[in-house]
Amino acid sequence: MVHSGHIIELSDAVALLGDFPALAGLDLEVAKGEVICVEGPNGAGKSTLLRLCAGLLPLHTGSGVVLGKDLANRDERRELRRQAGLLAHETFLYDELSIIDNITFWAKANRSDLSTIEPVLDRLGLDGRLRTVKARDLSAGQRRRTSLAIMISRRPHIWLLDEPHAALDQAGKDAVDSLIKQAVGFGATVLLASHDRRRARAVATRVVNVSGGRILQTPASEQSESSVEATEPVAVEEPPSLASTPAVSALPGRPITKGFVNSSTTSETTDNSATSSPSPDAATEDGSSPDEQTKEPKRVIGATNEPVEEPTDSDDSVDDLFADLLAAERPPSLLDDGATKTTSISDDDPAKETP
Amino acid sequence: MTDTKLEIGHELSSGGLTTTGTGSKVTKVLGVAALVAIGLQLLFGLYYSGPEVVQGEAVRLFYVHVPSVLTAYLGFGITLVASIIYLRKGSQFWDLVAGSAAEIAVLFCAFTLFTGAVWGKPTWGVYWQWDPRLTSTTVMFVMYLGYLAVRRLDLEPRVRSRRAAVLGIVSFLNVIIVHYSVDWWRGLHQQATFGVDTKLDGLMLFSFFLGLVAFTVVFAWLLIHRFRVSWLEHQLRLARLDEALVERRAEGTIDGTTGAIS
Amino acid sequence: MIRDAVLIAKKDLRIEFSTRVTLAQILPFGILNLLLYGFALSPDLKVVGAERSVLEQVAPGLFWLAVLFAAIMALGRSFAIEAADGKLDALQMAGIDPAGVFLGKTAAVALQIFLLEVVLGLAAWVMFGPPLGSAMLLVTTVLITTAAIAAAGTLYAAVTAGSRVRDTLAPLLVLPVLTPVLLGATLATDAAFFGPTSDGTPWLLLIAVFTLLFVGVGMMAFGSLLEES
Repeated sequence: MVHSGHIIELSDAVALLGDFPALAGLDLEVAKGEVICVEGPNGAGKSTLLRLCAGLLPLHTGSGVVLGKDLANRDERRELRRQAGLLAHETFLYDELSIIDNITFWAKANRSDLSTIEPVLDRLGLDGRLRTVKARDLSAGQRRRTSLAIMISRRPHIWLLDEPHAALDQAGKDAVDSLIKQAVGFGATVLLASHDRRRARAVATRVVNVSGGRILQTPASEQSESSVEATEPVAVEEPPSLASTPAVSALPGRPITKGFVNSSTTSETTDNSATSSPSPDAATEDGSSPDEQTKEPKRVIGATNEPVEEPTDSDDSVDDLFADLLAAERPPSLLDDGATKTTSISDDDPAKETP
Repeated sequence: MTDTKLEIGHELSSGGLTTTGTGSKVTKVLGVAALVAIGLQLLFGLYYSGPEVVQGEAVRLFYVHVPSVLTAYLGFGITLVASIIYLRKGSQFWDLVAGSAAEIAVLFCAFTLFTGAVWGKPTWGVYWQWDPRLTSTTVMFVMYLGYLAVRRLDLEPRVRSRRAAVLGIVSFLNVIIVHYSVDWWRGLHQQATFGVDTKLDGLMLFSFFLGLVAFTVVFAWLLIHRFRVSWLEHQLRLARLDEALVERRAEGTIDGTTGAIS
Repeated sequence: MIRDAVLIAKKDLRIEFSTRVTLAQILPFGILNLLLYGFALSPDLKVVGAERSVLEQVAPGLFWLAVLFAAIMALGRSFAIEAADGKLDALQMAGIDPAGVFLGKTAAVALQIFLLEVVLGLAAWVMFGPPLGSAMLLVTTVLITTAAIAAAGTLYAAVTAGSRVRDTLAPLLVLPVLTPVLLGATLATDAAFFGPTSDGTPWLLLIAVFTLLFVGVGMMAFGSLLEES
């Protein structure tokens, strides 16, 4: 279960939608902490790739391991589903229920902590009045924010975001980007399919091109692939982290080089945004549980290192949100494997893990 | 089980689809045996054996009616077992067995209902009587029509197979309950029913057993062929999948390189 | 599992509470059924020499028919809720126990069916008017039958969930399966009204066995039914 390197390891993966091979022999390796931007034309297989990684689809042929779970095994896929977070085209919301009822339901269903959703909602602009509105009466963007908040509260090890920028306004998009960076800081790995190329590339550490159900070997992706080879997972101190992203955004589409990463990730927690909460330092320490530190010492250090130079106006609020998240009693031990579930028990039910 | 027809994939890719059929030595033997058994049964059932005391000439329907319903039960039983194995092992083979058996069994079930109605006319004066056997057989018939409909649902093939398997199990268990309930229901109105009050002499019994043999052999023959057809369909599906895979990959190399920005 | 079941059931009931589909649409449909039966059979129809009108005599069966048809609608609704907008996926990702989903949905739908039965029962009693014999038997029959319809119905509704032909196929699947329940409930109710009461008990037993079978299979098989849909 301890991932021997890659968070996602797909080799010649074929996945079917009915009798249509949506994924036609796809190879992909993703290291912990990477933010992969999945690009490609409509119908290329991006969504299917994300669903496959979420454990929602069986492999037809080929092999695949995600979060140490073998995709060919139904039981392991079931475990994977609990640890993955998927923001899909569907919002997973019950139209007939109010936002707050939806959130309460899914938080309980996911065994996540309601108190961690509250701050996210606030920051995503779903406060007060909106929460008693029925889901069907919300705009697409608001529904999406709700789904996002629910997904985040699952504290997934891997974020699978299908068009996360779609339907969102500027502030929403900024919030998403910022959340992604923060999540990576906590050790999450992100796969994001987006048509908002500029934005997606800005947060991404690597771009892969999907077409015809496979990864295309474009120059860009080749290069970044090789850069991953170089930064071969655990051996390297820090997988590309959020701190590198400003630099990347300055150079859209340019593959990340190790130099960028190194130069930026080593900085200590300089988070200036945790205004309303206990010190982010403390939280960071929580985040990096001892065993994790031995495995990947520096990665977590970069964790709360929210880029000061993030160029958006909603930035502060998003940081606040994360400060709140951090302040929640549960350490964001996203990095544990199997054991993570324990983090979500905290409040109510000990009988949650049903066989 | 993995028959000789696996090469169909190659035949497909190398041009037109030329099936080698679904016959084999076993089915040929079975087919001949079935023909002989049917011929013998016609001879004994219609010619050598005489009319019965109570039922008169109508008794002759007994020699086909009862064997056919027993064969239907056999088929649904096979569906039950195959469904259980499919849920455990997940191999396509057993799913196809379950589906094929149910299909043939539904056919025999329909034949049973037909002969029941034909028998009902001279005996009861009507084609349909709320006879417990006839009623529960009809319910069973409709239930398995539903099962067959589920096998054609517009769902992912695997999902569909699994749901059908669950249904294949539940339906059989429910047939038992339906049987009892209808029996109790009609308990007070018991009418003349096939088999209950029929007195058969030696030749009649022989005709009946000949019927059993004939129907079982015909069932086996049909089942094997039906299964092979499904198996071929399955192979064809896989072969088409290979082609689709090639096409799908081609998509990527033609236009995808630039990665459309939409 | 129980926790999940409660969660699901509460959610379903909350949705019903806010949309009132059962109350405002399905219930009137059930009452309409009773009316139509009255038209079809005519209240004056009487077998020569019989004490009661035909309508009165067959009232138990008509009542259960109306319940059955209304229940079919409630069951369809119960799964339409989950099928939309990828929620079956989300439930799987939440790692909720499938047996819990089954029990929860069964319980929620059972409560709604029970509500239907109470109102339809009163309506049928007023409209067709047979005098009540054993209230005890009647109540037991209603309770057990409710569980039977809900359990079998939920299982079969799940079989067709996610399909475009769900609305047409689900009744075809469920109604034959419920044959024993319709027979049993009708005859037990008949016994409750016209006696003797002892005639009802074996039927209750049969429906109970049916219920146990479907609750058991439902809890075991629900995971298989919902996975990867």
